[in-house]
Amino acid sequence: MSDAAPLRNASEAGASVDLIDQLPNGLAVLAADGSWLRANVALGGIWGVAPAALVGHAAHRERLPGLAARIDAALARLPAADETLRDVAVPDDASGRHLRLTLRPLAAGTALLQLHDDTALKTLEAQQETLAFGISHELRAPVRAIEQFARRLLAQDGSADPQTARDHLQRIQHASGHAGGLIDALLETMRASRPPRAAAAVDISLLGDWICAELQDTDPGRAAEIHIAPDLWAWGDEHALKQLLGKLLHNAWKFSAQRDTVRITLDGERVGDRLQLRLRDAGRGFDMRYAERLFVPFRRLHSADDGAGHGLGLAIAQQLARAQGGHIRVESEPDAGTTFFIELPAVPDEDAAAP
Amino acid sequence: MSDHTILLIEDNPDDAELTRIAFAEAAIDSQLVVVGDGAEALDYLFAQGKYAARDAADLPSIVLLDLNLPKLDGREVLQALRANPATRGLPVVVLTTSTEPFDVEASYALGVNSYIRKPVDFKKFVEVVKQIGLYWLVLNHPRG
Repeated sequence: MSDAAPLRNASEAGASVDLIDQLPNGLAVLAADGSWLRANVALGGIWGVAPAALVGHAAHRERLPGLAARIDAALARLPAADETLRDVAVPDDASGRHLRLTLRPLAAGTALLQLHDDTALKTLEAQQETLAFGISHELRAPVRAIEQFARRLLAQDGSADPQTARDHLQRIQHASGHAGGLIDALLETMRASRPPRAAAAVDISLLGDWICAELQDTDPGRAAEIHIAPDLWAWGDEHALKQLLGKLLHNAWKFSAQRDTVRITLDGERVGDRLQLRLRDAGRGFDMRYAERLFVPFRRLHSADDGAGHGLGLAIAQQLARAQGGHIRVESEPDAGTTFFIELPAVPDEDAAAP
Repeated sequence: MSDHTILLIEDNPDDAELTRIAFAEAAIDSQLVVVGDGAEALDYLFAQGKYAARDAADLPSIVLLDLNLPKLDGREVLQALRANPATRGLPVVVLTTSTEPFDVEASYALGVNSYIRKPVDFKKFVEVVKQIGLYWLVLNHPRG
């Protein structure tokens, strides 16, 4: 619309500019029989389709399966207003978005459907909760340890036996390091949900090789068999995607610690306009009962003695994936290994030839 | 050694060590058993999994429970304990790092007997033990 030729007069503006396409909320006009008469640009944008593709059929039955029955019931009672829906949360879809729906009668036996995307607000709220909990609980733990062990050392005034003194100093050092890592992770959490600044074709294979080389550098004694398929291209922010892969590969490496050899495979394929990646390790795995909490901040599956980090790594990875328009899910088996399925936007067709 | 046990469910090794030191310095008579996550705590209490050889009837005198734990969190541990007739009456003291109203109210709603702030101060612990009527049991005074 913004590319249209300049308008010559006001009446032409009224005739050619479709006002509902200027509005930020998703809007559609539905007939009493359920068929969609019209949908605006914002609504098409929520589902990533052209608005015209939503028109001419009962698109809510396909796009809003969790609410379709209620929408149909409200339409059947038109023009009565008592059966309308107001600010009803749309049940979660795989993308993790938070949508809110309102349906109210319009003229001539039709209804106006409004869809608000609350994802940005909900993401901010969740982030704030993570920060508050991180500071009030998680950061307090190492501060408490430093304070308590230092106090004990001072109280003993040099009379502590050397072994105890050394133990306390090591705990103080370790707690300081943990607090520092946690502060970095909390800052990363604040930045992870930013939408991609400049999306471009990103060579996932190259990033994978690079990160694995870094992991091997920091842990040179470990035998590792790493297979990264070539030519895996995603569309997004290179920095964010490297961070995302870094979190998952670091996790795979860490939880392979008890194996003789670290085995990591990264492969995948393009399916339509999506890149479906699989990242497999042969590490210790985990019980799928706990799969849901894997991506929740500070819901660790391991205790501090047992490989746990600051409890934010996979939550940040999921935030990064969603900010890039993708998501991560996981399958695992104790003692057999873990597979992360990472879905990301693929390089759009017109750019596919470029790399 | 006393045959009374205190079970500490705590994933932070520093907090576990500070609790151990506080009890050792107070010459507390009970044995302190430490488990690091919620799933292991239930295995211990119900004598299952890696604790299958334990006598399930041999319950600790008191459970000290951190609410934020790996795998099952403290609230889920509490729910499991309160759902099982064998452990329903077990005294549970929650370890908290804050006095956030949510923590306290939610814990009492789940049947927590009391709560103490970390690091566990032995004097506070004794107060709590008195308050829930377990003084003689935990401190192993003569039963008269």
